[in-house]
Amino acid sequence: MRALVAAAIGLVAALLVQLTIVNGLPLPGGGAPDLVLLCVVAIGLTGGPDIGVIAGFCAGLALDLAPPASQVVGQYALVFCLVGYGCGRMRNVLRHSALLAMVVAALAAVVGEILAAGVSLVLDGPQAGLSTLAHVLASSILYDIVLTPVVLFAVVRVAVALGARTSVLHDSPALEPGGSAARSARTALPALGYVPVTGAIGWLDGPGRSRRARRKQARLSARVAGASPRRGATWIGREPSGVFPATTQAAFTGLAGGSGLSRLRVGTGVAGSASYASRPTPAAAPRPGLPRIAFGTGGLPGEGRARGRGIPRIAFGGGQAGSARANGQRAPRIGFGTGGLLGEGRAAGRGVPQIAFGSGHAGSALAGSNGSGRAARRAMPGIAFAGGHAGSALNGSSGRSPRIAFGTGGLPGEGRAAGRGVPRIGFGGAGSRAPRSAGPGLAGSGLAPGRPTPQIAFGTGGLTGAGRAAGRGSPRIAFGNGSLISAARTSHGRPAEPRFRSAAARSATGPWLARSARAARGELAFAGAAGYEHALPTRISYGGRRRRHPRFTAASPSSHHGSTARPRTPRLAFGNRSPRWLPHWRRAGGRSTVWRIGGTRVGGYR
Amino acid sequence: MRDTRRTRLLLGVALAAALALIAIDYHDGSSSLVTKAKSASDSVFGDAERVVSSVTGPVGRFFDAGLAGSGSGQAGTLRQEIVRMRAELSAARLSKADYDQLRRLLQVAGRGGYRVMAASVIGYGQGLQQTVTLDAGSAQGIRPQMTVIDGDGLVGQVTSVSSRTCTVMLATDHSSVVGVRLAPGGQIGWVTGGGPDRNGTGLLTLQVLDPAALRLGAQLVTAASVNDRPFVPGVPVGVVESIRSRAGALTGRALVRPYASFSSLGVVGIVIAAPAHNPRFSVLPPKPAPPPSPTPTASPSSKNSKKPSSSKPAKP
Repeated sequence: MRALVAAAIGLVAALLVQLTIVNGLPLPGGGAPDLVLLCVVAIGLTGGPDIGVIAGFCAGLALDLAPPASQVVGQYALVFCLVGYGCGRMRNVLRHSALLAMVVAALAAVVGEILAAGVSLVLDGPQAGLSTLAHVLASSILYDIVLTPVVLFAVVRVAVALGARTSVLHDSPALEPGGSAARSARTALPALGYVPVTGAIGWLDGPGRSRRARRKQARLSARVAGASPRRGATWIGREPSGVFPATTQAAFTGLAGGSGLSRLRVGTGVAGSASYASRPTPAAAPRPGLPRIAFGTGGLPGEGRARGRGIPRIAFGGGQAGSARANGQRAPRIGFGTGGLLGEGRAAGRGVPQIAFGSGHAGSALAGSNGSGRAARRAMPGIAFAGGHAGSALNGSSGRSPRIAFGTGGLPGEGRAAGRGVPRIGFGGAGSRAPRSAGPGLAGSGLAPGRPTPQIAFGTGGLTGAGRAAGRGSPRIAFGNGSLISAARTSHGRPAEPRFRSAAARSATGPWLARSARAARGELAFAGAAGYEHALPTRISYGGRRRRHPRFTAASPSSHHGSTARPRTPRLAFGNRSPRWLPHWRRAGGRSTVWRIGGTRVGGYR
Repeated sequence: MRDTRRTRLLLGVALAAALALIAIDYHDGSSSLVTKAKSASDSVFGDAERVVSSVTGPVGRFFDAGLAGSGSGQAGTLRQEIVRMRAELSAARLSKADYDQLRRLLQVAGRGGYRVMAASVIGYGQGLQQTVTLDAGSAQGIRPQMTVIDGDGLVGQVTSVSSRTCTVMLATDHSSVVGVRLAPGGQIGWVTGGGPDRNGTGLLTLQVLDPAALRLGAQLVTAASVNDRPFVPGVPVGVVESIRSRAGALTGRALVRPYASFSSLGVVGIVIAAPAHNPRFSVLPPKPAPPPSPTPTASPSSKNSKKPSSSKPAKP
């Protein structure tokens, strides 16, 4: 309301000054600046398209009707409302750089002047000879360009004083809850001056309002970030860096209302409010094997802490400096560090971190000593992930051997389960390399050439993700990934029922691992390497029967239970697996991911 | 851009309204909707412009104390008029420049016998429109289609009037046509505007019915109109600057430099009452002396004019 009043006052003042003083000044060149147009441009840039349209129309109408006017009424109203709308649509330049905003405002003023001259030429006939018209128009445009920064600065100051924030979430698509790719996207495309930030189809569009829009956004964000997101999935992580502080809530709002993506809005829940935990189950102690899953999302120093009295099984740290700390009294089973630039996943805890993720942009791995993703503890990190952009290795050099080493995402995804101990799982990450799970091997080929047999070998997405669990021993876990993902078949032949079925043919970032206590004992069974193109030619299964099956699988609902997932080579880079000319619903992976936790569907759109 | 549907709806409504207004006004220039809107805005913005110009006017102008007056009898009566006008224009403190303009205006009015209402310009037209707003309205007796003159010559005509302001279409407007007579012979022609007066270089276009009557430097005055509306006769218009006629054309064309300086209008007068008799060419300023001819000067007229001046100092 105050903004409207201030805008009205400013426009009236500009109109009066223009008509009484400026138009009568004998400026060189014959033209005169158009203060009303400049004000409309500035108000549109700061206020948005709505206010731009209204202000433009009213200012133009006032200019048409004010006393010394003899033209056809409505010309300036038409031109100014268009200019106001256009400037409102470009309002995000204000948040990117001041110079860009000034350039855009000057361009808008030039366009407005030319449009006004054109409209008056059409409706009123030539008011002057062509040369005179050209001279007057050129000098007017010049004066407008000179005065644009002044007017823009004044209006922006007034707007900020009135409370317009420069980082309003709801009206900037650049500030939509971006995913882990948000921050990476920003740094990936710095030269553009702006970033088609995650969640935006184009930089002028808002959050996706339809399924198709959301999927498109997810695809774009994945492509931008270089990650290979799960198609149709939501984004993880919240606001991009520097804008909002990271929410430290690490929770999974599985039961929150809403549908589809809103259910998967990470960071908005309470730790431990997942389906099982929030149920008034008599079991005070969390049932063994149930993933707790705590997300930490968003922001710059995104930390996801899975605090809980119980055993946080999975802790996500999203956001930029995403440090997923599963600081609990117990051992965090899985610690994620996702998103952002310095994704660190620390499964730091007193207990035994089973899985530690480091993902995100400069996905630093779980380095034992200095790496950000630390499964550092006396205990043995079961799985160390290095995801993200510069997916660096996982050095499970904390004295123990990481069980699983991932190299995911990003460009040079390497996951190294480098450890002195026995790496159980070696992953081949995205890019062209697969992690080597033995020592610092650069061109990791997903080998776990430890002395013992690598338990799980992943070949994951990216360009030529080649994951081979080439081991001499018998691999225990078989991964089926991609579309026709089979279940993880155990060695004893019983197909593991994947709990999490992904209808997406190619799913997103890295396998979601639900480590249970049994994983430490080698009972980890994975089904489906989400997002990764490769199926393992071998089957890996842990011995022993399992009551609980891994929670996250990427398997189609109609999974072919026994079929060996044929090795799929990714055809395209950056997660764009299928040709673009296919309609979106026909592309592989067009369906969303349905997650099941403990048998209850908690997420997914379908 | 949270709700783009609403935004687009707003834009559509605004565009439709603007186009409707354009269509209405283009089709019927005096549509009641538009005239009502214009009169309302005239009263609102006209008063606002008066206030603003009264505040900013004296600041922008050079204020010089004192007024140098001339000493002839006509100037004495004019000085009284100045005093009276000053009382009428009490809201605006006139600077020396304005006093000069007013004085010249009253001189022209006196010579032509016009009864003028002095007013000052408070607003200027936007873009390429050649219009101004004056701070005299129907309350002062202004009616549409009255002649507006300056201390130098014709300025324009009144097109619309509100209670306290009026809008004047300048002679440089593209749609303004002024009937004129050529100075010595009285040939009829008309003058149309040529667009914005870029730093005083705006020229009017003259077309005369008799191309042979065109002379370089010929002076023009307004021709009489029916009921003296919109133009009273005898107001100086301008000087022919260059001839553009084509052989065989029906009318002779020329470019006219107007007397009034349209880029620096200050105090103007609205002719309320036309003169009883047509002043014809009496209001015109004296023609500038022709350049000396190359032939030797032994003309009797120059000798006669020189004699009394040379004999004067001889006689005590």
